[in-house]
Order: sequence, then C-alpha cells, then structure tokens
Amino acid sequence: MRTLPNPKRICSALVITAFAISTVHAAPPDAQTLVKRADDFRQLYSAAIMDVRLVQFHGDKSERESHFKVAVQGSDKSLIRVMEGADAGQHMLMTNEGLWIKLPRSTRTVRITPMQRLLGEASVGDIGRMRWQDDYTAEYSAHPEIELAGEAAWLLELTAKSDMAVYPHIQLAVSRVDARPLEATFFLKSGKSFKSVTFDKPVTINDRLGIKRMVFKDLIRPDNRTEMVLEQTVPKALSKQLYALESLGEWR
Amino acid sequence: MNCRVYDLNKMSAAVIICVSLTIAHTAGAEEMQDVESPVAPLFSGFVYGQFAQREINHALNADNGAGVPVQTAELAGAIDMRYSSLWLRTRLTAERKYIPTKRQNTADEANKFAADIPQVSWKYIFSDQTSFTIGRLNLTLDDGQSFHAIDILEDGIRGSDFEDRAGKFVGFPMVNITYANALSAYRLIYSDDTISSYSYEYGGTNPGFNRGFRQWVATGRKSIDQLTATAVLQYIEAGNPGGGVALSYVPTAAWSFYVAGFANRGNPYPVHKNVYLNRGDQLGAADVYIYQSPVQPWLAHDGQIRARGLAGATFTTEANTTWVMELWRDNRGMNSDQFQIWKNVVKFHDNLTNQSARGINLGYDMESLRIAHGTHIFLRMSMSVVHDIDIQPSLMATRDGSGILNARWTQHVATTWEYWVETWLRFGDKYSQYGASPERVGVQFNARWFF
Repeated sequence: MRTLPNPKRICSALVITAFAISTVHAAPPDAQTLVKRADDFRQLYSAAIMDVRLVQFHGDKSERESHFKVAVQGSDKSLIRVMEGADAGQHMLMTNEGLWIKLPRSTRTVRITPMQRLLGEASVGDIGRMRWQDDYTAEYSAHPEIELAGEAAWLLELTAKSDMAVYPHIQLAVSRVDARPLEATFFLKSGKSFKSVTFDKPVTINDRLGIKRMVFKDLIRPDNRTEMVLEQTVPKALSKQLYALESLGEWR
Repeated sequence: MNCRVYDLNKMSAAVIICVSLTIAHTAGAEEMQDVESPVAPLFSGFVYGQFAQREINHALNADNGAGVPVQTAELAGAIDMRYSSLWLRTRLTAERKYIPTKRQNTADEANKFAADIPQVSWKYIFSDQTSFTIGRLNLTLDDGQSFHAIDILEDGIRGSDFEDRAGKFVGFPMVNITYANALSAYRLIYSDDTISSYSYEYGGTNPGFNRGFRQWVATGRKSIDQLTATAVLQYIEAGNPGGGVALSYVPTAAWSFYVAGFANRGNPYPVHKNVYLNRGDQLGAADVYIYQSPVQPWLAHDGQIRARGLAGATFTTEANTTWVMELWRDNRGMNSDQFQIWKNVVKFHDNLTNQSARGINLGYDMESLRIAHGTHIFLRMSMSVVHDIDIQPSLMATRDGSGILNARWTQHVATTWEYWVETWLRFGDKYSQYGASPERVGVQFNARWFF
C-alpha cells in the first residue's frame, strides 16, 4: 500500500518554496525575520527535552566526550544536566537573571558568570540558549550577499541586547533559499573573533526539519574543534518548579 | 582503636519513613513525571582517598598540645541513592591519624571507622509552585566562597573544600515548606539539630557553627533582571533572633558582584575563659588549666548583637581564567582588645616551666583561633593550563599581615576518576592570627573514583 505524504511536510515544503521565491524576486526579507527562521532550525519546539552530545577534537583525535540532557522553556529558561564525562551529575540553570551550577555530588549551588566554559569550544550558552531572536538585534552586513560553499547566503550582523550575552557580536550567514543557518562567527567584547560554528544541512527530526549536527572551531587554536550533535528531541514541558533555583539538581 | 557509628539508628528510622512515603507517593503521583520516576533505585557515588602530611608550628604548640595530626590517611565511600523524590547519601569512612602529642586522653595514633547518613531528603510537590521537604540537608543562600555570611544552614568551616569534593558536608535535620517559581522563592523551615554532637576536633568540618540547636528560619528570594536579593530571618529556640540579606548582581557575561550581611544576638562560638573574663594581666596559678577545658560558649546568650558581612566579585577573562575577590568581616571572633588579651594569655602559658602544663594550655589557647576574627581579604584564580588540568592558587590574609597561601592542582584523568593535590602555607609572626596557628605547612593528595 502506498503511504500518503505527510500533510505537515507538504505545508513545510510549500512555505519554504514560497519563501525561496519571495527572496529571489522581492526585496530582501527583514533581517530579524531571517534570524527567527534560522532559530527554528536550531530549536524545534518552544518547550523540549534534548539529548546533546559534545565531542572535543584536537586535530583528528577525539579528546573528550560528554552527553547532556537539556530542557528548554521558551528562549529564556533552560536546565542542563551533564550525563557523562568528568562533570557527570552537574546541573545548570540558565535564565535571563543568571546562570547557576550545582556541582556534581555537592550540596552547594554556585552562581557563575556566563563566560565560564562548558566543554571545549562550546559554551553553556551554545547548549542552553538556542534562540538568538530574543537576545540579539539583527541587521544586514555591509556586503550582505555572499556565497558560502557554493550556496547563496545572506550575511547578518547580530548585536546583543544585553551585556549578559556571552557573545556581544555574532556574524551569521543564512541560506538565501530557506534561511537555514550555514555558519556563524562569534566575537568577544574586545572585538576579537574567537570561534565559529558551521551547521550541517537540516534533516527530519520527529516531523520537522532541524539541524542535527554543528561543528565549533577555535579560531585562536585552529587544531581544536567541538562537534555538537542533537541526538534526540522530545517536545515536552517540565514542571515550572524545576526551573526555580531552589529545585536545581532535582530534574532527573 | 576507636570505632564510632554516628546517628545511624536515628537516621535509619527517618530514612525508612521517607522510603515508605516515597513508595506510597510514587504509586499515584502524576506531577512527579518530570522526575522520570525510576522503577528501581538509582545508585551512584564515589570512592575518595586522601593522604595529608603537615608540619607543626612548635613555637606556640609545645608537644603539639593542639592535637594537630602530622599525617592523616582517609579512605571513604559515598553512595548516593535516588528513588523518585528521595535522595540519600551514605558515607563510610576509615581514617588513620598520627598525632605526635603527650596531651592527656589522646593517643599517638588514632584509627576511626564511621558510618553516617550525612544527607537525606524527600520532597513532596503539592503544585507547580509549592513543595514540602523533610530530611537532613544543607541550603545555599549566599554566593560567598571563602565566607558565608547568611548560610546558616550550611557547615560553617570548609577549609579549602568549598565544593565538598570529599562529600563531608552534613545536613541539618529539617522540614521546610517552599513556594518557588523562576523569579522568587519563599521558605519556612524548622530545624532540630540537637542530634548533632560536634565536640572540638582539629580540622573538623564544623566545630560548633550554628549546630546543635532547634531553630526556625524564614527565607525569601526575589530576582529582578540581573539582581537577586535573598533575605533570611532566624529564631533560635533559646532566644537569639537574627536576620540577614544577600544581594548578587551579574551586570555582564564576565562579571558578578555580591554582598551579604547577617546580625544576631549572642555568640555560639566557644571563647577562652581568660579572654571572656578579661584576664590579660597579672595571670597566676588559677589561669593554668589541666583537668577542665577553659574554652566554652560563654557568650552564647550575652544579648549583644554581632554582625558579619561579605563583599565579593568574580571576573572571567576572555582566556577563561576566573578571578574571585572577597572582603569579609566577622565580629563573632575576638575583637582587637580580646586578641590582645589572648596574646598575653599565650605569652603567660608559653613561659610556664612545667612543660606538660605548657603544652596543654597552649593547646587550649590555640582552640580560640578556630574562629577567624577581624577583616579578611581573599583572592583566588582558577585557570585551565591544558586540557583537563586546572590550577587554582588562592590567598587569604588579615590586617595583621598573616594569612594562608593555598594552591590546588586538579586533573580529570578519565571520565571516571580525578585527582587533586593541595598545598598550603600559613604565614605571619608568632603572635598573629594565622602565624600563631599550630599548623604551618601542609600538602595533601586526594583522588576520587566515580561509579
């Protein structure tokens, strides 16, 4: 028996086609809209639990590996649980108000600065905040039409709305066909570009198109890179109480 | 050989009650699905080993009257069990100390085997915001690292193990009702810690801070943008109300600032009788103590209000080096006049011709130093030198020019084990706060294996 095409996929294809036609024949779309569309490829649901694996490489050799469970609620709350690796058992709470950590097998909760690194080239913010639309204002770069690995792309400049952002400035390249993210370069407050990330082509995750794998590169030590793989996403909202500081460490 | 088993029977009863309640609760609770209720208990933990070698300061510590162990070796196993909303930690310890002293009632070698349940808690969630917790646990209220001004439900003295890597922190038996959401939380707590008996032991985690009594505590936390404010009210059964406030502010991704202050009536810290009686001059035979310790909590109910406070900041550089800077003051220890009296008492005991009495009394005098006094500054740097290796030098100093230098080297060798080496040095002149300490230099090797 022949399987009927999934109506959601047909709708997605129509939307992408319409978007592609509009970007080719009309004025460039609003930069903020492009960021929002790029975000939709990175965070598929407004509330979800994700399994994320980070593998840190030095040259071709994998040096460290870690597995995280990440629960996101909108763009302003996330809980991170370290499942494997040297920091297994660590819990982190990330909100607009700050970042707290519960150390493995410790009874104490500690507030840390968002700058404090998670693993290799990926930081807490890369895992816990997958939406840039609320944290950054976007505008087109001075020369916005670029070609990246043979693909036509828009180059956007993202400026952080708050001083709390780990990256005050991000340069983001999105596809001119469907606005999926292609590459981003991160800049420190000093203006130095210190890492970049390239995004794999979207694949079907559950019933949506999403980015499954991204590679962070250290621009200061080019031999270092970290692969971040989204192994699983389950649309699910956790109890609000688990996002309270007093409950940190209780999500399991 | 001594064999001691702490509180195990009392705690076992509490645990059995918690397990029973949990099983009953798990059977029908819908709201606990976020906790992914396991069908079987989950066990994890670590095996911890430590070996420490210390050099004793003999200048004011004749015959090691303060009872400082020159060598300690400890092997401990901490087993954590989670079953639904129940969390339980069991710690088994075998410890061997070599204490070169001729002080009465202490042996040159002391072996200790202990079993304890330092942490146990069970939580019942009424709604998205409201919960009830019972158990033996610690609550973190302030952001201080070298000093905890309002953390009245944490162990007070941690040495350099701020993170409780050795799993030694012991919870306060308590019940608490919590209302919490992402931006605010309010707690009402009743704690009865009369089961804890913490007699003085050199290097013990908590010789008397806030322990051993019944208390009511109310806490409130509110976050507004990057500012978090916490308020605490405490009422100890015998009187002595207290209150404190902590504020923390994270203005940028790299900086955080925090302040905390607490004031209460009385002082549960033990004080030397001569200091308490203001006997700094014309000391005589009555000021030599042999059979009974002169160090007692004389000021616990003196009605005076004493304050303590902390101001701190952390900064993370773009190269991922983190600096911690803290300034704190604690008025519960001796004030400058009392410290002067204490110095006179020490000089008097130092000149006793009977060497046995000299050693014993200097040991008692040293006990007064377990409570820091005056204004302290603390600096610590943490950085990764290469992958998986962190170094962490720190300095704590007081206005009299004495202090402690500490350095830690940590390596995460594999995902299942890590080791860290610590060394420390106390400096300052013979009669300064840290220079007078019976412990001069030390080095400690620690390792943990996770399972």
